[in-house]
Amino acid sequence: MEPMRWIRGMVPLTAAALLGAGVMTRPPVLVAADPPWQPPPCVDSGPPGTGGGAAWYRLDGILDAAGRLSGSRLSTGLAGGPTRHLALGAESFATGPVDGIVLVGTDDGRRSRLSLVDAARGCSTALPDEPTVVRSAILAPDGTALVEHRVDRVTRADLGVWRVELPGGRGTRIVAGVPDDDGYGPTFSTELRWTPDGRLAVTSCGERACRTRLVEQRSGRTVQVGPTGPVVGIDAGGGVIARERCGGVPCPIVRVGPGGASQVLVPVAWRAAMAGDRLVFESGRAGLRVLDVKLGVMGIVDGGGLVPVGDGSKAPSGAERGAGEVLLAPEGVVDGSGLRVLGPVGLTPVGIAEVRP
Amino acid sequence: MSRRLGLLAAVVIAFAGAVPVVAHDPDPTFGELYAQNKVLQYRWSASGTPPYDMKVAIHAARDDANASRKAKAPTFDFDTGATNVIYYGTDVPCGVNGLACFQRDPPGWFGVWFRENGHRFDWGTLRWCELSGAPDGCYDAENIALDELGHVLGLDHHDNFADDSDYRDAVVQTYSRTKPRSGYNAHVFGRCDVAALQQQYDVLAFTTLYSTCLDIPTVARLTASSTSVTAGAMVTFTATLTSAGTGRLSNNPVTGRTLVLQQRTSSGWSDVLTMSPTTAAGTYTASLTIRSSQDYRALFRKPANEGLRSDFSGAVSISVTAACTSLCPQSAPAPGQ
Repeated sequence: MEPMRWIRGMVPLTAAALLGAGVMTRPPVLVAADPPWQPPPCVDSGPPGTGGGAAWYRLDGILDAAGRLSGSRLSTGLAGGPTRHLALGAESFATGPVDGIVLVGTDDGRRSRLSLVDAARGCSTALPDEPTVVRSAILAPDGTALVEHRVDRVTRADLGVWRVELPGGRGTRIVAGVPDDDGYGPTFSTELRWTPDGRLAVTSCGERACRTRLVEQRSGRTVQVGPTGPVVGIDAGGGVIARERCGGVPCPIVRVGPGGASQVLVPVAWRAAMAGDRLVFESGRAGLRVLDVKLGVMGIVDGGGLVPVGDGSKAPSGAERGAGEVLLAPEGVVDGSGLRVLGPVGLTPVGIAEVRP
Repeated sequence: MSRRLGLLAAVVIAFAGAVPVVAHDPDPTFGELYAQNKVLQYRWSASGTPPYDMKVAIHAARDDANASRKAKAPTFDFDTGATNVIYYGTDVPCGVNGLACFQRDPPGWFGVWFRENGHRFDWGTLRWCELSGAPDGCYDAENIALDELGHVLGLDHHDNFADDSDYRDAVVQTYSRTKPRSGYNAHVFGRCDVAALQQQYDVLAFTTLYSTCLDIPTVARLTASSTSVTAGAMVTFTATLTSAGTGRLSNNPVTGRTLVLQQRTSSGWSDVLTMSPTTAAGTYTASLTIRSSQDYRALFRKPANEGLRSDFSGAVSISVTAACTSLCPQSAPAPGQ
């Protein structure tokens, strides 16, 4: 995500100059001078990872000379440690990490290949190929299974969300695909995330709006919430925290409860992320704020230069952190250095390496 | 939540007040405005410079916006030293379902982002027409860029009819059509885009047509050079026409339209002649030889091509106070005829 932060106290023109000069000059991906990593297969008896830092990843698209997406590059490692780069196809994703494992998927036009990249041990476990297109997937919190969203390889029809036991079990569909609906338009993106109460949230965003299905995996009981804009997160009360349907930012952030009642939480917000009941967002010139969506109280985050990093299966970057912790990165760029988290209490972010066991 | 947080607390939760928007209204608007006719300069992002054909499309959209705004909305221009930045590439803050997006914070700056050609969505691969040989299903980058520039000016998405039959009324749309659907390559602001720009920034000039997406009242007024004349005297009528909308569109002179001078008849009012515009904004004039006492008024008929309502002035009574001492002009044939 292109950073766009306001530095509290600066005059707007200065801030604008910084924004224009600084945040839009993230160095392009350098591929030729940086040979990709070929991770060896993980073996069960292998040594545990070293270093203790939190695992992280970032997925960057690679453009050819004509400006067309030609591939992707996964960067991963442990906070404070070396960075490894993995070359992937144009249709790729990465999520996690969970217990040091980054779930990586890439499609070569004939099949989708998922693998579990162990950032700590520096190895990878390949999962069985999938003939449909796996658009994204996330690991279960306990790491024993994954859930993946599939589309038809030819028609791109939504085939729903499937649960795959690890390692390499057969998939079982647990959530149906969304049908065509004029109210939402063709589905552009389907995002998966776990809710604080253990449900699976499946957010399908069409060209007009998004709807989120909250699914209890055991019973299959499903609650649908929408229409909304793109989702920021799910709070502990099962409320969907989402953007309004805006064409850009700043854009309000709303909470839509399980019954459909909608409240504006933040009338003007730039980038945002949440964990538990804490919503961290950029508030323009006012800097970084945190709102407890349950209590309705807001505080100023002491986070100069830090930007909230979103989660969900479409997040282009992430880092392992504890429950209720919001990831923050300098200028929003996750690269293994300078990562911070804002915990369930307090207003001062702490280094991510300090909080990983 | 800590006590410290509590001390800093500011309750911001409020019930969302969804305001229904009637289709064929002007586009909704949001945020602060730029100054009228401000020139908004942009440059390419160093980390996401568009490919050549994308640059051409974006520059074309700039020209489209400047030419079709019909309002004192800002114009756009390219400058390598600009603060405002346009980005093309994979690192975009457009949400998961955006082709392109903007950020704005008037009067400080704005940014516009375009996703890369070849981006994978659930439905398939994003293709910009200008970068992909324009196959069916492609998105017209010039159209999308015009949409984004409209957002930068403060326009929100047009609220369409359920059947989208009014899609062509706006370029600033929640979703954009792909080739070859009607409107996919619209390169001028739609009438409801223009309407919102005119409401927010005022019409470009007094001669500028008001968008047909508006319905602005007008006020016609009429005066006469004399209201008591002898028969055969020439009277000059002067009419003014002003807008009677709200905000920027209130009390504007309305120039270059057609006003008609009417006289009262036994059955109502009939046209006498068309009044001529003067050099004064919103002012029209006509001269008439008066033969008898009569009531006159100025009439502005609602034009088919703009969003102004009809209006007519109050009646001006011209009294003829004395008979002619010879043949009254035009009352009898001249000798030899």
